[in-house]
Amino acid sequence: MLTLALKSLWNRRGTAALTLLTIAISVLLLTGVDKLRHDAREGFFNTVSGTDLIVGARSGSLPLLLYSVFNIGQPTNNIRWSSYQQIASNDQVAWSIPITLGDSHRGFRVVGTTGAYFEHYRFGKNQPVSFSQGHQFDDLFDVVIGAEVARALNYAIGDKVVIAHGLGRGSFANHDDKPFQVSGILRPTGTAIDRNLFISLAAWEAIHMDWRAGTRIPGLNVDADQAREMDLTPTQITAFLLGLESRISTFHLQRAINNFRAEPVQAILPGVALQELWQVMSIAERTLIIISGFVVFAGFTGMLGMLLTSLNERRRELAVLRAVGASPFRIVILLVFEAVLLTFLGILLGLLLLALITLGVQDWLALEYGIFLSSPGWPNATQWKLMGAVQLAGLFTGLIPAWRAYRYTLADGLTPRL
Amino acid sequence: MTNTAAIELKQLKFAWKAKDWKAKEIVLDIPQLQIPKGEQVFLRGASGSGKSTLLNLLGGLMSPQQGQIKLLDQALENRSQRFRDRFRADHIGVLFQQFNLLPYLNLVDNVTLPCRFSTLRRQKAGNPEATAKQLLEALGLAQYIDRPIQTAELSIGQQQRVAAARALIGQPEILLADEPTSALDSDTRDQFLSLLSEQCAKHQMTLVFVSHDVSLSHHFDRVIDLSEINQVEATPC
Repeated sequence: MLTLALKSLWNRRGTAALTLLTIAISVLLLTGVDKLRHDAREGFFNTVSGTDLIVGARSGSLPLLLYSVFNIGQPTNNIRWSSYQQIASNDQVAWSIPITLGDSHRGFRVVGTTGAYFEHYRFGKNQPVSFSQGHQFDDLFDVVIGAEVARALNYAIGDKVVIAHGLGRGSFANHDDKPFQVSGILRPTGTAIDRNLFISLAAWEAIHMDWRAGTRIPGLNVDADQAREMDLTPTQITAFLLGLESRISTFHLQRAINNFRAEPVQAILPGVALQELWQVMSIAERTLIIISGFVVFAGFTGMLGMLLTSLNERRRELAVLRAVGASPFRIVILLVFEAVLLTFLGILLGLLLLALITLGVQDWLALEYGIFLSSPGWPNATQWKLMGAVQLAGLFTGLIPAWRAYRYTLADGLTPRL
Repeated sequence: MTNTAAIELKQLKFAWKAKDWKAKEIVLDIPQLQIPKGEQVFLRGASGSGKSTLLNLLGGLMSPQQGQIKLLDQALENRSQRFRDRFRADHIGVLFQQFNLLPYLNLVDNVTLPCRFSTLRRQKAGNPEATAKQLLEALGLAQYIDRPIQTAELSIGQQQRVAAARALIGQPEILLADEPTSALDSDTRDQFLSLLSEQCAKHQMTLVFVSHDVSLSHHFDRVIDLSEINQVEATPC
């Protein structure tokens, strides 16, 4: 009986394939949106951990959060080195990581920082940053690169790196007079860190010696060796991260920093800012879920249309089956089986497409948008639920033409009316 | 066996819409009809005379509101749909006017189709595929058996012969034919009827052949006019 159903379906493989495709696409969208949502959330919340306050020039908490740890958006303004020193020397502060931004290397952002970064920065579940090869910067012109940078640009220890001025990928203003050498490669973290290059604040100062306002100062050429001899204490940085002795003092210190007299600075709590960010995102998220829900609905409407249309063509087929002894119940099973099978194959195809697309866009999404998709694997609980719901919807969709066929077969008997 | 009737109807009444049953909706009212085993009967009726309904009743697809239907000494009128479906699968072969075949099955699979639904007929057929081939050969279709052709590529006459082979396989006791020759020209029609009656005789099958075309009646043992046995006036279409 089921082989009959398969042969009959194969006979209509053209329309069946189209139906399969619509279901596959709706499943792809549904699970894809869910995956994107899940992985993006995971990625964001994993990127920064253990940092109690982020301090930067006064703007909004979201922009500060985004440019300081997520490589998204442009830093608005810098803060003075003296301000940093003053705040970081507070009794409550356990550690601090200064960060300077604004340069890049082939689309990857360069972060000027100190050794404190590798010592104190935590991501995920309080994991420290560690090296897969090499070590942190010893020499002035050493650079440490993230795992993704190493992979994408195929860099190894000892390779020369020229840093470009500005964040644009097509920047022509290169600091080519002072090339860097890769001294260490970080282990993959699955966060924005993987796409960063790290140099020391002193090196940052050295390459910007002879620059002002985004361009070289004409006539002033400080070569690499001369730079080594000069005073490389930074004058300003973009932001800094603070770890406190005790969490209890977080709000107290935040208030103190926000009231800092010397210049307008702002301190944010990363967790709170992330929640804020997610509230904004959740609207888009919900919209996407609703849209993919409608796509699933459209998919099944398509299947229903195909099944009902084919039913008219198949009235004779059903009458023949009745004549040779098929009970109406078997006819119902035949049609429901068809819908269930189509849905099932559609789900499989959808998951396959999702896996392929994930593999295809993984790198690009990470590079362009900082969203780290996990590699395709076994579906998670939510996806199982979604697929279960889709399969169930397929079953119920199948019941409609099946019911109709049942009525037909009872009314038609041996003489199908057409 | 004491009773030699293949088909026996008594006081049979059938009406559409059983819920509000009124006299004018009665389609069939047959006080008495008996067809002995092995007889080949030509059942003549104009369109709208209720012959399709009668076939559906005989095939167990519909149930009468009143009266008895006995096929092969088995009363069907009070049995469940499931029982009647099973009974049809086991004991009745059916031939339609046209489009008898499933386009996605090859000739042999089309012929062996009843064996998928009835263990009894599968057992009687022995090896269904071999039997199907024999039947197709007997019906003059030997040259098409092993060719991978779509059933739609056959002429209508050939298609009807394949359908006849399907109705004959596993030797059901009763064969119901609903104007199977109406789409054929006169030459193929006579040829088809000779083949059909020859096969029925060979397997001692009871044939009920329904048609409005009186010119075919000479092929049969007996001619029954539906308007004579049915007490309901034929409604003009």
